[in-house]
Amino acid sequence: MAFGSSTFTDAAGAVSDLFAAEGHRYKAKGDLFEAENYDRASALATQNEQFTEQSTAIKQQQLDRQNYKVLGGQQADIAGAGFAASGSALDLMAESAQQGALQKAVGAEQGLITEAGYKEQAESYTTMSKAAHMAADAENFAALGADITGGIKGAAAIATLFI
Amino acid sequence: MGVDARAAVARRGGAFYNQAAEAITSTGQRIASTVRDVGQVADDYMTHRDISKGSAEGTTIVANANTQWNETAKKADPNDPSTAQKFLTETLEPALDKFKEGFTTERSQQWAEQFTSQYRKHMFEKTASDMSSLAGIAVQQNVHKTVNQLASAAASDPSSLDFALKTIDHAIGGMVSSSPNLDAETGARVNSQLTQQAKEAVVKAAVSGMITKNPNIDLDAIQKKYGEFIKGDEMKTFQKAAQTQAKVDALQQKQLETYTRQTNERAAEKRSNDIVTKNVAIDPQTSRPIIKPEFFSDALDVAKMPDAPQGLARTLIDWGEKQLVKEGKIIDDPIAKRDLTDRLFDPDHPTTRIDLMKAQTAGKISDHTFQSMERLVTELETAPLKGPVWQATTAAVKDALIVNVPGIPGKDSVGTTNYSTFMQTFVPQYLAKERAGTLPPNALDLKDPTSMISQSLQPFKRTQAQRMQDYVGAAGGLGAKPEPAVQPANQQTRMVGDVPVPIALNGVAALQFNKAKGLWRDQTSGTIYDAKGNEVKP
Repeated sequence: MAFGSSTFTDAAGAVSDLFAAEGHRYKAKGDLFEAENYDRASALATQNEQFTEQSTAIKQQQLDRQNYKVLGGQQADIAGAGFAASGSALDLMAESAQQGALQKAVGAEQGLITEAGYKEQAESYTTMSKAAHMAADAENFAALGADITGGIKGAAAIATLFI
Repeated sequence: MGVDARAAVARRGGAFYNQAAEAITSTGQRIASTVRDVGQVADDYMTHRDISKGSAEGTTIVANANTQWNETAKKADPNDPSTAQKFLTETLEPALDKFKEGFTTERSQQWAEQFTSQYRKHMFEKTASDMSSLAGIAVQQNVHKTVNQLASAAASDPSSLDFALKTIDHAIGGMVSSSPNLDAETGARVNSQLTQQAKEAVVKAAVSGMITKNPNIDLDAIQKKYGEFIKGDEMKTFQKAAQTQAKVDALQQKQLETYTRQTNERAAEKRSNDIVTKNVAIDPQTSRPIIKPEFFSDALDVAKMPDAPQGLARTLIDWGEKQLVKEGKIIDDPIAKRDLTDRLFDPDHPTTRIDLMKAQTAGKISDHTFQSMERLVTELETAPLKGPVWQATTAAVKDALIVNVPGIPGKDSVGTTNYSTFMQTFVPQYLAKERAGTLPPNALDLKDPTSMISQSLQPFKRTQAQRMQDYVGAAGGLGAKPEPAVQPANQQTRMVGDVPVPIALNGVAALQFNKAKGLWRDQTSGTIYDAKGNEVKP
């Protein structure tokens, strides 16, 4: 082995590998950046889920209160009209109570659906974050490998000058 | 409550972060792409630069390594298996490592690695191959040595041929199989080629040896037994060789007989000389030989020696008898004396002691001349003067001292006597100076009047008128004095300084005259003579 094409092939390989290592490191940074943002997105989704749960509970209370108000108004109206709470008055009140219960049930169901959506979204972004971390680790490992191979090729290029 | 907004913030914020991350990552990718592009350009440039430079260096390394290996292989022991490995690890690898250090980029290093790998592989194969080749050559050389020894043994002892052939199989097989660097292919090739060649060589040597020992050997039987090692034309050559050997044997036999005869003749002549040396002494008073009784019995022994020259013993005995019954004084025969003197320097038939004895026995030379020439013969036996320079010198001296005019009848007896006397005087002096190492370089230069030979010739020179008078006078010419039968014609003409030499002393080569006492002295023997030439006894 001596100075020759292998010298420059090795030197070129070293340069290429060292630059490739830097590229891998940039990719790792990008992956970590993505992971960080996916983590944040996941946290936001989780937060949205909690907000939805609280919001649904509040809406349930509002519906309960509205139903009480409707039924209370009907009882008052019936009573005010002098009707006895029987017959059609009861039917009307029962229907109102059913309507209120239905709205509450629908609201509760909608809240659960929305929570589930946010939860799914949070889990999805968490998974993506993990994948991005894994990719970053792989890129860093690739950068380390490229550093090593670049160093070896550089050393080989220098060695051709002496052997 | 704000959940959706927060979720929307998360999604939108994450989207922004993702957008930022994508932007950063995209920026990093663009920077990385830029780094790669710029780096590729730099890498291309540096790789090209390294490879361009490395190519040249690689060529140098290859050349150097090849040279170093060749040098190593030249000096290496072909049988040392560590030579190639040692070169690869201690020489080539350090060079290749150093070569690779110069490459800085990955691709240039890959190029260098490929280059060195290929060259290393090449050098591994090359060194192994070279060492195998060297090992093959070494085996061949060793085999040649073995074969030469076996061929030599078979030639001198043809009965060892079958043993030699078995030894070849054993020796060559052993050398090839035990060579650590020889690969299988080279080994097999060397084994097969050398074995046949070696056997052919040994068989031929043995057959030649057989023919040398017995030219009538049965060549057909040899061809039947060893036909695979002898070609048809070679058998014809052997047949001719056998015929030639028969002739050579006959000639050698004759030469041997001649050599034996010559050796025996020389032995007889040496024995004759020894007999004379042992049994003959010269009386200093009378200059006459004193002969021991054993002389004659020893001379008879010479006759019994094998191949003794005809008449040799007879000459010795005749000479001895002549000395015992000698009467009166014998004067030298100039012709005989000249012949003996001429032949002193003859390379083929030099004057011998026996020749002198024959001449003395025949009464042709005096006792004094015999002694003088015998001493000269002894000197020349020790230090021969028979080269072309001496031949030319003696011929020139002869021309200077002896008159010979073609077409005019005459005989220069004085010149002949002077020539003999000069030689008896000059040669001992010349040899003495030669032995002492004091011989001047111009000693034999007749053109130089100051040379030793010119100075020595001076006393023997005559005027032109005297020379012609002596020449025609001997033939009875007008106004000439007739030459005495036994005396030199110009006895008054020989002068020592301004003193004429007495006739009786003409035979003495080196004379000295004491004017105060009126006495002559023979410088060679020391003998003293009165004014008339009569010996004065102390």
